[in-house]
Amino acid sequence: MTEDEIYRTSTQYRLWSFTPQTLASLRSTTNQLAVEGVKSAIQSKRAEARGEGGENGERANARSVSPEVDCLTVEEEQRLVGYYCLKTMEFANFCDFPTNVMATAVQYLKRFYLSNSPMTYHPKEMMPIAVFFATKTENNYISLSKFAAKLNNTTTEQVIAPEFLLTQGLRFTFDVRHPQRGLEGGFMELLALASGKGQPAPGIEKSSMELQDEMVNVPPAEANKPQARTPGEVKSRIGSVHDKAKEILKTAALLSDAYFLYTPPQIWMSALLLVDEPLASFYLDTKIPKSSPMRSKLMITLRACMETLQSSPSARPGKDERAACTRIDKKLYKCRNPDKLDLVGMNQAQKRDGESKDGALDEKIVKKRKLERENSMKEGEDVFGPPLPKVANKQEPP
Amino acid sequence: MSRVPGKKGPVPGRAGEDDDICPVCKSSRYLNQNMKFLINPECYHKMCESCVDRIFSSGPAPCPVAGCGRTLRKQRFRKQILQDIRIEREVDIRRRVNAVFNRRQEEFETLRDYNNYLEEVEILIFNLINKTDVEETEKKIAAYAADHRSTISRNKALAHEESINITAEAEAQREQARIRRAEDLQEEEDERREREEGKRALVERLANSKGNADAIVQEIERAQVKRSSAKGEKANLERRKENAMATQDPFGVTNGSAGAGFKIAGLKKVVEPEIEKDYDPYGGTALEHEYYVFQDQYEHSWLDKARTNPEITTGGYDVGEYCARAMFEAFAGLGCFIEDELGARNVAVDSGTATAAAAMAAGR
Amino acid sequence: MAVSPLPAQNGTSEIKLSAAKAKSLAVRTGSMSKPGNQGAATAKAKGAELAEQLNEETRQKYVKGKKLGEGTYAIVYLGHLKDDPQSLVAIKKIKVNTEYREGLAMDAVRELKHLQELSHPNIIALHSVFSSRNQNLNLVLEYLPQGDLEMLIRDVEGIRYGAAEVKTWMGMLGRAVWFCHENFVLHRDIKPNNLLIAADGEIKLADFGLARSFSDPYRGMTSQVITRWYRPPELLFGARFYSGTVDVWSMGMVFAELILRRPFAMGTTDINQLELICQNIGTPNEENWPGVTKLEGYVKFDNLNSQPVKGRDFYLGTFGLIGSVGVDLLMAMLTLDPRKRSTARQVLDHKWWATDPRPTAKRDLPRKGGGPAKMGEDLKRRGGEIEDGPGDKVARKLNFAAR
Repeated sequence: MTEDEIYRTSTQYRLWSFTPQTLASLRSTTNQLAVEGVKSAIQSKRAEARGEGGENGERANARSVSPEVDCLTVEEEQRLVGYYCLKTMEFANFCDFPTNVMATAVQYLKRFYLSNSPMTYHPKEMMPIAVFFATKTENNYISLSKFAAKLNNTTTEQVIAPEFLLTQGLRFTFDVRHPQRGLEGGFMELLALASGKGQPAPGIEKSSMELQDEMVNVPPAEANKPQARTPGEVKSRIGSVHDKAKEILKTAALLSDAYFLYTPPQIWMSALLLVDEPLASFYLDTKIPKSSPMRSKLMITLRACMETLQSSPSARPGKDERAACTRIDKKLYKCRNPDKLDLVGMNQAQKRDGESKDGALDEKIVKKRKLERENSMKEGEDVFGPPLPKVANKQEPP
Repeated sequence: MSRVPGKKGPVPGRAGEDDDICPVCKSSRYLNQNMKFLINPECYHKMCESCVDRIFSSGPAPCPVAGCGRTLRKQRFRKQILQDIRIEREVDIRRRVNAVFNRRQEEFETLRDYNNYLEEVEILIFNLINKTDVEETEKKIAAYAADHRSTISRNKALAHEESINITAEAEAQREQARIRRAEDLQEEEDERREREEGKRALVERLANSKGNADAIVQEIERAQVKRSSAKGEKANLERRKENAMATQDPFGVTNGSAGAGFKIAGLKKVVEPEIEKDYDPYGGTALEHEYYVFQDQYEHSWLDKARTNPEITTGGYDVGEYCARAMFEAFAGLGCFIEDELGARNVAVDSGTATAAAAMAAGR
Repeated sequence: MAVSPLPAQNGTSEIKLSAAKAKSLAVRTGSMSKPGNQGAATAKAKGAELAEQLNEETRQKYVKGKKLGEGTYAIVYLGHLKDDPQSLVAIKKIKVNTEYREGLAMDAVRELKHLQELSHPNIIALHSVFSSRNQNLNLVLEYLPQGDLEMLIRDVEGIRYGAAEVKTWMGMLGRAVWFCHENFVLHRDIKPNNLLIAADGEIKLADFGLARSFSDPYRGMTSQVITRWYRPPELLFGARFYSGTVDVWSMGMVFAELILRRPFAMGTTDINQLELICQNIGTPNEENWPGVTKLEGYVKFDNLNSQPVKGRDFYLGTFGLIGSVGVDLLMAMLTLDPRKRSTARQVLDHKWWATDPRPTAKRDLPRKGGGPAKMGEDLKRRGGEIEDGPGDKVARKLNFAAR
């Protein structure tokens, strides 16, 4: 097996890697489904309100919405999720969680919103659980009460309620492969090359000394900068490249779609190219010769990845961006799926259901389910999520 | 074996009345009782032992029979086995050709293939016997022998092995029979002794007791019957056991024809062992680095404390494992081009390409 | 293999396709007006998020059969693919603990995270994951009907085996552990009853409830892992910075157990376990393990007048079955100082594998046939638990503060 073959067995490759077209169509499908859900839920809520006349604030609100609900576009959804990814980073840093917890939490949110819409589940409510769940999966677990205490006005129940939704949205795969550690590997190899101890990839015939000599002659990243002449100077050049690339991985790589479109080595290599192209090219030469067709293929991919990184939403949004997000948030207020507002209640209901079950379903529940199903037929929607099909019930052992 | 028709013909060597006279020195068995005739398969001309000694002891020499003149060597002279010298010659030819063309039926896909092959070989033999196209035929045979050296020697070994087994089997059967005979004798002896003992007991009891003589006789007879029937059962049991063993015995030593089938299968294994690869402790899943050569030591000031601080190292923490991981993650996936690879995957979703990938990962 | 290849796994059904399907589903539902039996199935598609539909799609692929076992942590069912009743799987349903306020339990998080990533012939395969209603997690696992290694070891009367068989089993275990470490995952609960046996005799490492990824410096880990009898001395001394060699020690203990046919050191408490290690293997000191006395939980054994580390002769006497080369390997795995202990890679590179006897072929291994029920028993446990073994439970209260 080779490194690449092992990477191909990862869930990040198998489930969470997409071509740009697939990614776009996925997002539009999710958006479309959510719009349908929102519209039918609002309609039925209005019908209910009209029929029963029991008016509270929410209902009144619903009535005032025109039959044509103004829903979020895919683009708006993306911007909003991006904004909450930033919030997640701020929060994780505020809690002093290590970078991997922060980075994983951000990717959890991004993955979750590939198959869920902010109109159904507001990112504000998903953000805490994404971070909390990342503390579990990244070996940085702290108790829920300690965690909730770090958030203002949030109960433990509010944090944990959407956990199941999150894991389902993640398709029960929790491992995220980040480019950070790989960058450290590249950094270590660059230092070894500068010290005259580096070795090229297997199959490339070059001595450590030759490589060291070549490295000293790598032109500076910008024409006006002085050439690094001694191994010591080369090392400080590597040090600064490392710091800058690390910053890109902590921000642009996380906020863009890079994780979906490229592999971790491609991402950190692109970051390196962005920071110091001559040095990165020299390093690539020690891996894959310029003459190899694989090299040109790789360069096309790396250039595309560089572009993705460069066009990433800013990690420090300006006033305009913040204003735009506030506007989207306001718009969202009017097009949220009214059935999915009370996550805590939904969660409890599902769990209660689980407790009373176990073994044969008692008649009451069966009746309740039947009623619910009939209601849902009528209303075309289902309050506590769908009941199971009958077949599945029969398969349950007594 | 095909027969060469006719007694007389251009074939050298004469059979018949003048068998007792050496065609070279004309001495007769009548004068020398110990006279032995020898032939050389080069020309099959018969001559007496003393002629062979006289003419060929100092090296190869031409055959003294008028009109022959072939160069003969002493070491190749041998006794004539068959009376008809022509058949002797044919047997020799067959033996030589069959030593080269020693294919076995099981090597052929169908019986027809095998028969065709036999036919071909028969043509070669016929040519040699009848001296047609001899040179060409010999060339063919030589070429075949050169091309198939390993197969020939393997089949030769097989045949040898078989013949040994047949001898061993016969031997084993004889031994088995001997043992059985000995057992039978022993049994007879035992029975005889018992009978005598019984008689003696009867006489003794009759002499010593005052009871009913008939009753005593009956009692002892009953005891005898019981004993012998028990013995019979025991013998039966043993025989049954033996039979069971015989059918199980993988070497078929005690069981004639059925065993022979076993043997061939067994022999085949010896000659053509499954080529067992060396045991790979990694089970074929060993990792090869495509993009880097892992080094024992990497420079990284962040790691220095982890290398030296005893609090960290005493429990076994190893910076090398971090370096290995950093290097692995630096390159695991560098050559995975999502656009190319997954673009294709999307097309063939239902055929389970991804499953195939997973299966590949499992090393299967 | 009892489990025929599954056409698609959780990980494999392509999202794009599913999205397309979802679209068509949504369209169909929209035009559907008459209620009926299929109404239930289609109604859920309406308004359901894509995530939910994907889950539903996976769930519909399997049929849950009879219950194989039930524990406090999980229920195990026999199951099969809906399309192919021959393709048996085990479905491990993790119970949601309504009392547990912290959400999904760490065991489940760890098991899912790592099993989803690791695919190797000697590691139990996780085919799929789906949730049934009430947020119950269902892990669709490879069906392994032949029991576990512990059953074979304990059945001294019924099962005979020799060095060749031990070599085969250890090779499989060695590969499993090596592969975990190659992927930077520590298993942290290696023991015979976590080694399940497939229909073809292959050993499969199971139960990743205590597993975690490793290798980052300065990140302490809890020492409260690995079932006591298999726990290495550094963990018993409370070390928080350790490496793959903790699993190698456990492997060494399994190796010894395969030969002795009983656990090598059956401590009743952590201290007792240390005492047994001192007696049977040797007492750790500054000489054989520099720095050991500085470890957080170091205990000095005065009363045991310090046993020297057992030499080759002792091992040859007790473990002669595996020959002198095998004994070298065992000693390398049971080295007190974790820095000097063999790594999993070194274990596989050892020359014992190439010496006689050749490992027994898989098909010729002795088997006992635990049957489906045994798999139920094995899977329902939480990591670190042994059913009704006195005092051999690993502390389940993981010290998360220590991380």
